[in-house]
Amino acid sequence: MTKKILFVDDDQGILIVGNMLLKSLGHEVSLARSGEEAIDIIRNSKSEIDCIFLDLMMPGIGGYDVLTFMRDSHIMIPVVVQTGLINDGDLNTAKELGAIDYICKPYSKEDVRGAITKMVEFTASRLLEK
Amino acid sequence: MSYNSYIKTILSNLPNSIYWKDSNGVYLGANIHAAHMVGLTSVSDLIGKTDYDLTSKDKADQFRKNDFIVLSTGKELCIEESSVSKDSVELVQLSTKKPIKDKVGNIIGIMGVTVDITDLKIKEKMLWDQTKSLEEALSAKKRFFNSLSHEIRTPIHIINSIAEELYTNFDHFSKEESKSFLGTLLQNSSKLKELVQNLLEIAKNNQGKSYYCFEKRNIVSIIRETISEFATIATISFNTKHEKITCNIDTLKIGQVIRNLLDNAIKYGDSKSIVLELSKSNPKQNVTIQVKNKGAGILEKEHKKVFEPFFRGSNVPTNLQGCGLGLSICKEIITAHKGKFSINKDSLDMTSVNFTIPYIE
Repeated sequence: MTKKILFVDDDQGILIVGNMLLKSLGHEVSLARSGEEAIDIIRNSKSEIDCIFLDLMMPGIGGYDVLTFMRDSHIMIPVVVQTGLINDGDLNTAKELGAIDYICKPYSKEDVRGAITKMVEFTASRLLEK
Repeated sequence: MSYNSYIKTILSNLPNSIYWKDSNGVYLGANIHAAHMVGLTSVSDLIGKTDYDLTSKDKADQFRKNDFIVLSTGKELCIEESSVSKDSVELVQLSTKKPIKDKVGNIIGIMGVTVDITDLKIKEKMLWDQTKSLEEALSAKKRFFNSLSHEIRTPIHIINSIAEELYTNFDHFSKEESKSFLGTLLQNSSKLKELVQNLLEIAKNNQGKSYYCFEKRNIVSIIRETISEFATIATISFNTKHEKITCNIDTLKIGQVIRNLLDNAIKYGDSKSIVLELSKSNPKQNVTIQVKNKGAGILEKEHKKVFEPFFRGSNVPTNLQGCGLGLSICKEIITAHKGKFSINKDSLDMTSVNFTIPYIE
């Protein structure tokens, strides 16, 4: 089923890849090239976003800031962090801030598909809880 | 030999200070080593004196305070004390002090054994310093590998994903889309190539195998060419009175240094206020190139350290990519050109990274 996905990264190449992989899986994609842009999109169209792929290391407002904004604003869109980091500490911090999972670059189309499934299941289980 | 003589001989030959005092801190006896330690030639000169007669007030206060702990608690005390040798050298001593009791158990004084541990403390400090610098090196390497991991993974991910998609679904893409993907592939393979070249350069420098191709070239035009590469991403003012200054340089490597300094100025500061100045200093026959910008700058205590491999300034945001290799490579290159690097902050709060190289008349 088609999902509306926000893909956030400051690297133009990664945005191109994200867009390409998500579209090839049949999803609708919005792109944000900074934390500021991501927060704007989330703030203005949160009801239209099903899941978010978020980079952690971005200049200015980074991935942690976006997660903090979402937590403080009680925005419950599932987030999967995409990172080139291998530091467990950083990934744990992202999870503590609400990210449900992470995928490490270089990731495959199957990794992206798996991450979307997890995010959809997360949303479904939250709805059931309600 | 009598028993007392035996004891005296043993005490005299022990390498440590042994002494005993009454409850007022008056020396009642000692071995010769204890007398020598305070600059006296005989034990009889020591007997009847207190620490206040033998050393400075602050040192004597320290001894008296420790003696008092033993006198008041009745317990053995093992403690480091500082002292001054007869040659005015600061000493560190390890003293073990015990109470002396009379037949009915009243404490009537203290006895002590003091060992000079100054050399051990110096070695301990050296070991501590070495451990600290090893820890710093390890943590720098850890940071380096984290950054390197990010720097390598990103272009590999882009190249791999696009190549796979193009290969699998080639017919799904228009000619324009395919060309655009190929452009991204090229850009990212170039990024990887540059990273690998930097790493190789460091490896070569470490092994003393870096090669330079020196030729007489106009450095002003090399700078102009390099600045033009940044035209779309930054505003760089180039200030100089000169149109031609000939230097004996490796063109590619000097271009690499300027590129790196401009990259840093953009990454760590305001990309719209970058100034590059070039001037001649006639007495020293040097040309000075300064790259200035406004921004967080480099902390003064880190001005030297930023040229060390893997080092990243402590005020650099962790989300900024970089391996901490650029400036160390630049320094190697400028040193090979018989030049020098320096960093300063001017009155307008602009950070200036400068290097000099000799010019030819």
